Amino acid sequence: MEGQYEKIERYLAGTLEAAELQAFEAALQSDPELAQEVELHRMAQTFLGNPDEIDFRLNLEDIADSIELSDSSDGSSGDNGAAGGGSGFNWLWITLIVFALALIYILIPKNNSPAPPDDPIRQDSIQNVPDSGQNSTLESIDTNANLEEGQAPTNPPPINDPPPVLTRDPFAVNPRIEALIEAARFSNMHEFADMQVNLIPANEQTNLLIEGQLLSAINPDSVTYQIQVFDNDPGKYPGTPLLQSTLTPRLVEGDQPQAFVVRKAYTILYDTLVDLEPGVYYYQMRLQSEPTPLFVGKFEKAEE
Amino acid sequence: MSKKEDSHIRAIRQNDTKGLRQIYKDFLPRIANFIRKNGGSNDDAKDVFQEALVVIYKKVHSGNFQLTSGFYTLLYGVCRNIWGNQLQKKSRKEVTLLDDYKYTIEPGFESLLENQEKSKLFWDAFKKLGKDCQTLLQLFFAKVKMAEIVEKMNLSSVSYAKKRKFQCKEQLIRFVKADARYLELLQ
Repeated sequence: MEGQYEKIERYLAGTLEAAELQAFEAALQSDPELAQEVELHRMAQTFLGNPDEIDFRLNLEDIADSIELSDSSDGSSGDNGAAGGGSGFNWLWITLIVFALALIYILIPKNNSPAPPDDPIRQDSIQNVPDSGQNSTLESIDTNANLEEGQAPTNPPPINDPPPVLTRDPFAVNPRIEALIEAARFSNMHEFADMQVNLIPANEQTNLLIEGQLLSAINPDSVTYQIQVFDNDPGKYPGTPLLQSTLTPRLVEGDQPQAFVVRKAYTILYDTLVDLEPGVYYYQMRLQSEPTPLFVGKFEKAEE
Repeated sequence: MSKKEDSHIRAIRQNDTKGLRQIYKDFLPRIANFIRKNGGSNDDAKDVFQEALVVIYKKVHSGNFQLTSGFYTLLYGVCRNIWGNQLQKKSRKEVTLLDDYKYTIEPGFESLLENQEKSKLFWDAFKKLGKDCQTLLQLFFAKVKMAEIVEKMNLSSVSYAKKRKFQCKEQLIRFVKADARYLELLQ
């Protein structure tokens, strides 16, 4: 496939040798799929080939993202700095105010626990405390002992508080994995470099792309490389990865990096759709047969 | 041509952020009103508005542009044409737009409008790529030499850069082919 792309690009650039050109044009005549592919490449070059136009589009995207449109039928624009007009009843502001009030209502702490039942022992204590104050022991421990008539006793503190629910901060780091990242180089025989992670929104999910270069002294056909992705839960590393897959390195033709151990360069690509919550994540590459990671990296999905 | 309209065309020609923002402020609400009256949403309006500005940008840079009407007349006409085409494709029968005015498209814009849908298809596919792929392909399509791309993007070798370029282009082509609009354009 890469060879075909190269040939198409050379054809479109007009750099094919005469014999190659003749053969390619004959193939175009007889192979409609190839002709379609060439047309796709030509359109890509045409519509994405002007860097100034790309910059213009990117600028428009940024401007459009910063502008809110109201649903007002008033087409005039106001001076409030945002497109949508300043005159007339602004439903956007009403919606924002209602949303803010709802948020405040949700965030105000409420006492949802039921009022503790009247403590029969304490009530007894209240009734039986002598006015003379002779029972000093009871008085000292009974906060309701000196209540005046008609005064309501204060609720005693609940005896069995439920234990607080511990929630994991999705953005907290996992110190164990962080230490592995610090170690940087795990193996002379397999080195991962130029690793990049991209998170691309894809409807409700995320397209996770992890790609980079592998420099290996071992023929990848003789081993199986594996990639694993973890969230930051310390309990899950290394036994319970969020995602796991084998990797198929692709040999890079042409110049090879020089090294003490003779190694070849390969590209690796992990491309998957996943439901990913905001938080910190880690990924590691390893040989399927070995527990020790060959590379550990980290990425973060920001809050939306 | 009034001084203000000169400034709109100048902002487009120079990709001037402040001037472009003023164009959005001045005209997007009216275009959005038109789009909403004709079955669209605010998101549709922003999309159409952006595409119209790109069409005008291309015309302005083509070397033979002269504004013969007001800027808003031109912009409205292009937006109307783009939205009308989109509605036409959805409804499969002739569409009549609810207009207060009858506009005709400025001469010389026909071929740009014809290519606008294809341009949007590739742009939408391009936006789905990771940032590094976008940068690499932007440089490649601008015919920057591979050795220069390696230096600009701090990659390890020309061979690696070629490999990455192939992977990114493969992704781009895949996104285009997966888009329903691609099949419509083939027909």
